[in-house]
Amino acid sequence: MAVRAYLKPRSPAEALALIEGDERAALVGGGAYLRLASRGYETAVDLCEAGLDYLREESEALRIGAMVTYRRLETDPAARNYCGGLLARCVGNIVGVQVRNIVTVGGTVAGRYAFANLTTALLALGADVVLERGGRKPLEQFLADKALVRDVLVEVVVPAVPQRGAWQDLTRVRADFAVLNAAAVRRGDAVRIAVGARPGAARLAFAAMAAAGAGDASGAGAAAAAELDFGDDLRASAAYRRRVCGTLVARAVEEVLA
Amino acid sequence: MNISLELNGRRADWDVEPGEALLDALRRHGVLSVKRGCDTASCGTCTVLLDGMPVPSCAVPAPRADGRAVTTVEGLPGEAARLGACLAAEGADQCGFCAPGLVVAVVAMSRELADPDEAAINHYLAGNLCRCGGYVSQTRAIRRYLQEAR
Ligand SMILES: Cc1cc2nc3c(=O)[nH]c(=O)nc-3n(C[C@H](O)[C@H](O)[C@H](O)COP(=O)(O)OP(=O)(O)OC[C@H]3O[C@@H](n4cnc5c(N)ncnc54)[C@H](O)[C@@H]3O)c2cc1C
Ligand code: FES
Ligand code: FES
Repeated sequence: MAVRAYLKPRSPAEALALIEGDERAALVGGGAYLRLASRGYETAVDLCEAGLDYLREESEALRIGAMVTYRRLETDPAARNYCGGLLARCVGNIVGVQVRNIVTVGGTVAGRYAFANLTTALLALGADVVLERGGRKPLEQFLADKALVRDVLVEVVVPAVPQRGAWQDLTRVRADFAVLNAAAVRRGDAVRIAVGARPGAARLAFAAMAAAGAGDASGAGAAAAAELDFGDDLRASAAYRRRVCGTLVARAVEEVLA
Repeated sequence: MNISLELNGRRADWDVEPGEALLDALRRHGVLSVKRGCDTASCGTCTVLLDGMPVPSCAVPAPRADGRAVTTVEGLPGEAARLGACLAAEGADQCGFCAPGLVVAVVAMSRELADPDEAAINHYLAGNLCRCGGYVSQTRAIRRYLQEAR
């Protein structure tokens, strides 16, 4: 299927109207994956002029517009200083600056990519997503829904409260997709832990969260390795990932408890 | 569809396919310094500046360049000559395929980072692959270029 029309709506509402009821229309965020996408489309609906490239600091939240790029998470003080630099750290080694200058928060979250570092970090942060039609919902709920996204992701909202964050990932070579990634976020005595690239999609590790809440970092690692399921792919075996999970989660928890 | 962009300081009015990448549009219009290495946003040989920002032109839809400024190595003759001389002096250029994209990325880095050390240079340029294996000599050449530019 060849692209026949390229549109640049001026708002998320306009973008939604363009894709609603048109199976052959696709949204373009960074566009980095659309070219590789197996599902063809005839109408490209580019969000670059829809007013979604904002970062807004509110008293208790940071609102990240869907078109904010990874590079912006690294360079804009509002994102760079957020939660000890967790957002900047989780994307900082992805390919090179060229790619990070185009790939977007919205495209990553909406794509529900299982390997995505950013999604793992956002899950640990307890992020909400805001959809133009579907409204606001927790990221967990958005990720659990397997249906094709026929909506416009407007923004991601993360809590801006006293918290500490830690990032851990393992790659075979620098800039490759992670063999496994993990994030921990502590608020008071509570710790939220997410593990992704298992190679399945990121999940919260509830038993690990309980152990971390009780101050036991290595116990949290062991619990995460036991409670999550892992798979084989060209990067690593399930057994290897399980071992790596225990270590990465323990390190992340140690860092937020310190 | 028609787009108009500023290419290396001059206005260009082009007819592009809605599904084509900026890389394809550039090469079709004779800008052959912009190389197609991987075509999947992984190698950096197709790097151009879009409104001053380095991007992989193989992953930017051509229609997105409408109304914006695109800079390729042709638009950076002074920098290209100086960095090229450093690459030659350090023996960092072999086949040369990666050089145009590397020059564009180094120029972007020199504008963005005040005084990058070796680790910062390697991190900034991680997206520019060279399969002739010249990273050590490339880094030497880039440090020399940055020093001379100061
Ligand atoms: C070479 C390369 C290497 C990479 N390596 C890594 C890696 O190591 N680790 C990692 O975590 N990530 C990696 N990524 C993925 C990257 O970080 C992004 O997640 C990915 O490119 C998608 O972002 P995008 O903005 O390009 O989305 P797009 O390609 O524009 O969109 C992705 C999907 O989401 C839809 N969409 C886009 N925006 C919205 C929106 N606002 N609302 C609803 N739907 C939308 C699109 O229609 C499409 O289906 C890599 C990408 C590339 C190109
Ligand atoms: S050709 Fe664009 S990054 Fe390789
Ligand atoms: S010199 Fe040949 S790819 Fe770099």
